[in-house]
Amino acid sequence: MVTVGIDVGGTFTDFVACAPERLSILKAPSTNPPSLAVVRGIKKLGEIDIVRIVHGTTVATNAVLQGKWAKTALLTTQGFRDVLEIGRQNRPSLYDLFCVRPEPLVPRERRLEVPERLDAQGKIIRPLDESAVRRLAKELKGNVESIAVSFLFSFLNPSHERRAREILEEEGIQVPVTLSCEVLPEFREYERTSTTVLTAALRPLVATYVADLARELGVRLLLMQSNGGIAGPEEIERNAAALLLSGPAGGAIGARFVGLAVGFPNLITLDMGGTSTDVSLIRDGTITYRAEKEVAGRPVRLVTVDVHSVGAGGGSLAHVEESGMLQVGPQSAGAEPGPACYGRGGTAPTVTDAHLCLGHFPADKPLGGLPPLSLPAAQHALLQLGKKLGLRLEETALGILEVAEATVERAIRVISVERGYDPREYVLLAFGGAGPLHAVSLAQKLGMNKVLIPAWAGVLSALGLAVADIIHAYVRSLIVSLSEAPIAAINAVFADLKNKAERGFAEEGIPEEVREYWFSADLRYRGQGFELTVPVPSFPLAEEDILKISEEFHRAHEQRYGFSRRDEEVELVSLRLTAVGHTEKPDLPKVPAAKCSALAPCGQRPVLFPETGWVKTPVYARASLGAGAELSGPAVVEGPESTILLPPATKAFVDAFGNLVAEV
Amino acid sequence: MDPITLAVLFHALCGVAEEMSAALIRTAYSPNIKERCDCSSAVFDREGDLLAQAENIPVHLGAMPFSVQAGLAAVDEWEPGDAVILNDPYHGGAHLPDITFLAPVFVGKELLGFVANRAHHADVGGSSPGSLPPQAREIFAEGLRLPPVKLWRKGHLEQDLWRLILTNVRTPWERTGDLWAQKAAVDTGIRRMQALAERYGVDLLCTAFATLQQRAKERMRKAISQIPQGTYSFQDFLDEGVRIQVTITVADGNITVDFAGTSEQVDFPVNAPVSVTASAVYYAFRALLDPEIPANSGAWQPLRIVAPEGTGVHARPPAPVGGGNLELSQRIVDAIFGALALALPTRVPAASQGTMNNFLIGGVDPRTGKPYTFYETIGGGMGGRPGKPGLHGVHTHMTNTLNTPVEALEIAYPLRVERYELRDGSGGAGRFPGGMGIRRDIRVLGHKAVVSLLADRRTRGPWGLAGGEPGAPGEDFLVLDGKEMRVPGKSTVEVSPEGIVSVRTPGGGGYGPPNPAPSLKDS
Repeated sequence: MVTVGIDVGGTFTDFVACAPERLSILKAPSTNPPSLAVVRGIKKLGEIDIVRIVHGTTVATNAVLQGKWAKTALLTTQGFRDVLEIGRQNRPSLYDLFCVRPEPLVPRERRLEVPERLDAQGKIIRPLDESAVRRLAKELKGNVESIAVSFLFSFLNPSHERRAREILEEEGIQVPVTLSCEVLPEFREYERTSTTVLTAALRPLVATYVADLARELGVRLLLMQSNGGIAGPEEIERNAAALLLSGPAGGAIGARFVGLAVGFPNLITLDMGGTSTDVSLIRDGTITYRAEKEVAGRPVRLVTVDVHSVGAGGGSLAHVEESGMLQVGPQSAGAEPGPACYGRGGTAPTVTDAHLCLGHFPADKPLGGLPPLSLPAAQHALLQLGKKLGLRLEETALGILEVAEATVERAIRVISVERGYDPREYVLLAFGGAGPLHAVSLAQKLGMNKVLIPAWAGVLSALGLAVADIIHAYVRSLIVSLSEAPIAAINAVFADLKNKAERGFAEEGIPEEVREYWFSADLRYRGQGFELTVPVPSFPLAEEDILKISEEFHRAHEQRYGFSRRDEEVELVSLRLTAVGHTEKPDLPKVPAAKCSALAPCGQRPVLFPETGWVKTPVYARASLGAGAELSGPAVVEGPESTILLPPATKAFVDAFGNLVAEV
Repeated sequence: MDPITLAVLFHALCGVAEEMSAALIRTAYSPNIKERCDCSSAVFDREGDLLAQAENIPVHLGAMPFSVQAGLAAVDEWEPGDAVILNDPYHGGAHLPDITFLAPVFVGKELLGFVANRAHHADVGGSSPGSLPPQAREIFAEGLRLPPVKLWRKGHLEQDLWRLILTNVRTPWERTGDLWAQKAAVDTGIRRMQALAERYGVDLLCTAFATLQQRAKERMRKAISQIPQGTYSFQDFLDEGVRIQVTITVADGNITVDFAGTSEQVDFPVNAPVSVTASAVYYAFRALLDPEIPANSGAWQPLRIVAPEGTGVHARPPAPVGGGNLELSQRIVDAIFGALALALPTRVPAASQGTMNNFLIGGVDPRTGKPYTFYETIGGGMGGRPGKPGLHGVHTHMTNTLNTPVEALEIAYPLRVERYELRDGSGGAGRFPGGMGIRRDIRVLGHKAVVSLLADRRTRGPWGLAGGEPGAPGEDFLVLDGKEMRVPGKSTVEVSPEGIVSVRTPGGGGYGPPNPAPSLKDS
């Protein structure tokens, strides 16, 4: 009974195979097409009892970024075909006179209007013009690859959208027809239409990708969605946009899994790679989500992990900007040509070059699959920059790191302080190629006193995939004053959502005993334009539960926004059901104990720290550190995927699972 | 000053401004601040010069130094725990709904600088809900005026003043929440500035403040050097004939923007206090020359503004100013761009819609028997740009606020949107055509409503450039029983039940001559 998590990244495809009592990992170079590496990797793992493969893929995201979506048509209510193009009527940049908005996924000539109209109660005030739909069907037949239908107020009454699909099918339309009332039965027509159109435009591509891969692998394939839950191919095909933004979800789940195993339920995750840094916050073992995000400038109104990204990473370029200040990123040297020290033709200085000049990396020794780094090339690049700044080599190098860390520090403040959370109550969990180099220094700047660098840092996303639960999310708008809320209507909506969830689970063969249902409601004070989601105590609801729900809403409002208004009318906006199918979780494997707690380093080299200048610093191999090993800074710990830097006057130990915990 | 510390402090000061805005948006109560983000925050040195700003709409750009100067002039002695409130356009404000908070930052007993924020409140009293009455002939009709006064003194709230303010507004409970949010935001700024002083010391911070402004000044000078030396003039008009005359002189790295020849102030609310005029000038040069330039007082030093008092661009009390930063500010930008097009013909876009199409509606909701008011602004066509067409249906230049979703509007109010679409053919023809304007038709359901429009570019369309044609002017109609009646762009009309108000916003001007008709040889 083995579950395999597979995370396809730009450079490596990571595998974590997880059986109840053991975990094993594999890293393989990524391929084009990506499925090649996936199929080869599964063979190489040699597991015989694979029951499930959980896959994280960027295939949908890349399609949007590269404009490779299906030729799609959109049917709208008469008078509203331009909603998709007008959007929220704002421009993407305040001062850039030459800014552009992304082209609408469906151009104007394929946005077709249908005479029909519902009012704000869902009542029909103009019946659907069926003959108009038939005429459109004849026009579209054979000319498009996918069709989206988004009528006003369809979230209150789906009958017009459903009938339109029936007519299209009666007229022999073979391509998938996607209805906004099924993708996102929520108010706000632009966001609903945009999400529906994205789903429709991605469906054919996602269907092909998933079907091909499933056939080649020959086992049950599940995919990670943006909400951090996994779902089967049938569900994904209908909900293709849920694959967008699923990238960071695996990392967050992996981080939570490790954090809970070692007793740190409050985490800030720091994933620093080559070109960017992603940060997120986990509170009481709960990942924080947001209701909406953009992909290449297009809103996707689906619940996603609340990740904040900034353009600072190992490959970020340092240069002097117009006002004479040092700037680092967001431009990156990427993998080609890469930092100057890679010796692949890059001459501009990067964060990685600065680390090399300060002794954080060994010169002339291979590092994580790369050829030996060239110290002279890095020094040359930094000296050129230093000349413009009037700084010596070392000052330039320290300056680059200082400025890069200022950017990342801002990002961490955004997801913590600006959301009402104090970073000092959190442990900083660092992964990604560059995260462990900066983690301790960043923790010092933010007043955080613990840093956790997991033993699994190199494959954290794949681990997250392997241990993720199956999640189906359902939502339906029901806009009514909470105090006047008809209990029967609420219960009817919840019952309907639950029926849907049960059918979904049955389709996927999820046994009854691992199913769990979380009911919740989106509420706001009347007149507000944003909602808070609060849990609903029980289903079916009784009269007294209404009071509990409104109490919970006031409390949540207070926590999030600093005040509540108990005398104000509370309005119910949407009802949600999150259906969870729990999967089996392995225990994190323990590592052997260290032979003695004070370890012998595998070498030493001079390293420059701002507080001490150059000091001879011991270097440890991460693999040689057993449980219970204790280290004190200054020290460098070298691992296969990343290097950990411990500044002077810090301490660290290795816990029973092989994680390195630094005390700042 | 070493370039590393300077860069880190630059990030930190921007961070302080952004964190203040985040705190304000997070704790504010009204949708206008929370959702449309109609607010901004800024950090100042002890002389009141701007160091960093986080703004969400350009009409707030560089405006708050005027508030700080007004505060400095009004307050004899600053003490820790003080916080000043103001909104009077004739004392450092913009228009009355924009309330500014200003507080000193002390490190021990030493004054380090100031932090401030500004937010658009949904109502500050006056003759009509929303405090933007189009029929105002004097500022007194536009709401409660607050000169710079201490609302907090040494950490204590001045209860009498607080009661006075809340007594003069229509929705005191909402104002309470928003005012507390503004206070929470300045407190956040003060704490962050004090933490910086602890880490770097007051002396080093003051050196950095001066250096950052010096660098921005040099950067602006360099940007100005892209404009050929000379004098460039242009005039543009509001529909009622209010003229904006601008003469721009570029010499020795400095720019003089002289508004001599601009019309006298008028007795309807399109006049601008000089702070609004300054924001429009800063916006125009920042957008055209260097969008990334740090927004501090140093950057504006090479720009000298000459705005004769008593004209529309430097109003004297008691002129009403509600629409100065909504409508006149747009025309100031158009006039400056028109003049600079003579200097930089390949870099200046054609005129954009040049109005915010302010739409206010109110009545008694027949479903509840309670009065309601609703305010929105509507996007239009962006002017064609050298190398790119103008965008369709967007807000341009001085604003960038979001629309109200049709479904949200219909759920909340007894109104129905009959159409929301781009206006075919409204973009000015050109090699790079202007963007299309928007048509938005709103039907009044089962009651009588009063609609106020404050919109412009209804008589002349936004101009084209380099041979491009003008965009279509906006048009507004009242539709009753299928009959369309034209209504003026600045008017208040009564709408009977089932009547429709149709607002059709201007298209952008075109850039470059339209493609010539194909010649015989081509076919």
